[in-house]
Amino acid sequence: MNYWLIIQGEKIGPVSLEQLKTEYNIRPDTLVWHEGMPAWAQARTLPELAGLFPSPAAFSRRFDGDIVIGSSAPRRDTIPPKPATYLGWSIAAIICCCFIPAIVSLVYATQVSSRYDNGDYAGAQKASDMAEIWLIVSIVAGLVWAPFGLLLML
Amino acid sequence: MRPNYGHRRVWLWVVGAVLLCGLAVLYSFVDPEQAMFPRCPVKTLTGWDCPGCGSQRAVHDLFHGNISQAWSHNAMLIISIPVLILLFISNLWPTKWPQIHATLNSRTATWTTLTIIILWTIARNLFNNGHFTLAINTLTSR
Repeated sequence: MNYWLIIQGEKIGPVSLEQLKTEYNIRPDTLVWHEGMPAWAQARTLPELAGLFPSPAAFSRRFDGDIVIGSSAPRRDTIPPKPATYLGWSIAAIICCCFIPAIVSLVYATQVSSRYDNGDYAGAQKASDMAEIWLIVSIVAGLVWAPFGLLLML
Repeated sequence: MRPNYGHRRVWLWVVGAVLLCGLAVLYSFVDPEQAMFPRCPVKTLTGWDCPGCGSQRAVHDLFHGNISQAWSHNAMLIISIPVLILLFISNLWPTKWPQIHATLNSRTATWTTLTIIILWTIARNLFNNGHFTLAINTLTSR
């Protein structure tokens, strides 16, 4: 299977999995892609690369006196890709529609990024869902207001 | 696990973009100051500018090449247009330019956007509307 990776802004590939693991200094957040993947993803989300990155759970097992080092924690295989921030739509909604719910949507967009970077993947997904909801609130509010705004002209 | 950008969503992006562009073109034909166009509720009720105030007039000015007029009506709109185009393109093809997409949606970028918008809204109300004078007078009369 052919892999591509991005190192310092440069797209490198195709390389084999062995080359990827041995010849390149990839980090957990290095973007990697192979055919069949819907989007580029961080290296740590690929199960075949799991062995490269020690997980925090493995470390804690070490400190508990467990001799088994480097065993893959089940969490690593289920790290999801970053959920949508709806950033662009929030900005557009702030300008065109009702800005108060749109600002709330933008705040949730920041939460998506912060929580994802902190490893809170469930929280990031929830923030993404809330951003979407408030975005829709903003659009609906804008649509509801529009006829009143027109009437004000009379 | 929900997909990040499933293909079912792409058409939503495109429809939204087409609607926005169509709306923008509409403003090129009619001058919002003379014709019937929706007015901002915040401005009508309180007199304060919301972040979008002046955007209709700004779009109209842009279509007629009046950049400085557009800037005075809604400066943030002018800055937002290239940003929005970049975000739109990077979201439609996240696999093509993943670095750009990651940077645009990063923690720094989103927090910066939020801060700039809030600060700009406060600043435009303070400096453009005479609320600044009012605020200073109120503070100095204490």
